[in-house]
Amino acid sequence: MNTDAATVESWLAGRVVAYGKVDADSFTADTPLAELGLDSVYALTLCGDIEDEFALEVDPTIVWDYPTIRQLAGGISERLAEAA
Amino acid sequence: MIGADAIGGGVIDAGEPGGAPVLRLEGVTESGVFWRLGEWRIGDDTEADDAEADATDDNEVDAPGAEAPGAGAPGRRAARLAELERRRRVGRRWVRDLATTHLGLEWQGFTADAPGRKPRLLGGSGADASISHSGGTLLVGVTADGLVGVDVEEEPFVAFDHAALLRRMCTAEELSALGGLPGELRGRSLARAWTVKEATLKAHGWGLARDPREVAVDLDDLLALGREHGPERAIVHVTGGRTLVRHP
Repeated sequence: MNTDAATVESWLAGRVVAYGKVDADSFTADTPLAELGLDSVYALTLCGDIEDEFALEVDPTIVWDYPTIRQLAGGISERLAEAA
Repeated sequence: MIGADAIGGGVIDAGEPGGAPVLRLEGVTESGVFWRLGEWRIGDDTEADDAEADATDDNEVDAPGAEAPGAGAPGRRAARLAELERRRRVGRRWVRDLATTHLGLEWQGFTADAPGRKPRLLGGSGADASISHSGGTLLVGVTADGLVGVDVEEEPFVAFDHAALLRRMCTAEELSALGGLPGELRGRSLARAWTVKEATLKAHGWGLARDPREVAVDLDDLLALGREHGPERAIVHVTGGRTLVRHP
């Protein structure tokens, strides 16, 4: 599986759209996640999705540490590289 | 596990029977949590004072940033930010209303909190407050003593169809008991379970930093749910060594 930051970023953007809070063309990778309607329910859902997609267990607080899609993708990609 | 007992409460103003749709309900639980539930987009959009400007609603994972270069169409982004700001302003206003009217608080505003954490009241009164929103629905609670957490989830409860969420929010026992319920009842019972867990985490100020599976829910209460309508909501009051749950 390709786990570079760009691939993870694209996957994350897809998840945000799938959660149904925003339209695909209404945000970029630098839009704060909070602005995209990512509340506690979806933060926890995203953690589960990350676990399923990348076999990487993360805590919901990861969205505080990496508050945009671009930053979060970078953080996940780094963790995956460390775990490899 | 963090246990919880159900308590009762009284409605102060439930609107006019048979009249126009109720836009706002207010009440107080038996343990002394004053709450308000309603549509935040309708009315009550007065400017909050400067002391409240830095507060963050505890539903949000973080406050929106000041700039996000190229964040979609500028007009849509501006509208989105304006709506978030209005929602936050109405939530703070409702807390202020309840705290000054029912607790007799001399209003001093909110502290600026860490991302995802509950707003705290300035003034050292010992009073506590919590704010939750889901779609157009807003729920706030205030209490003079102890800790309060509130949570609301609007219908339809589609988020709770997601296996990845259920795995992270429910224990195996909870999932076994609730996951097999039929249709709408399944969604509602899972949504109620979530509101109890989330409100409990908020009351303690833990938010997402604590695993929701550690918060016990009353499965008998959840399994007894019938056909109900409207948003699921929970008020959790931690007082006198007990954790009390109310569904107003």
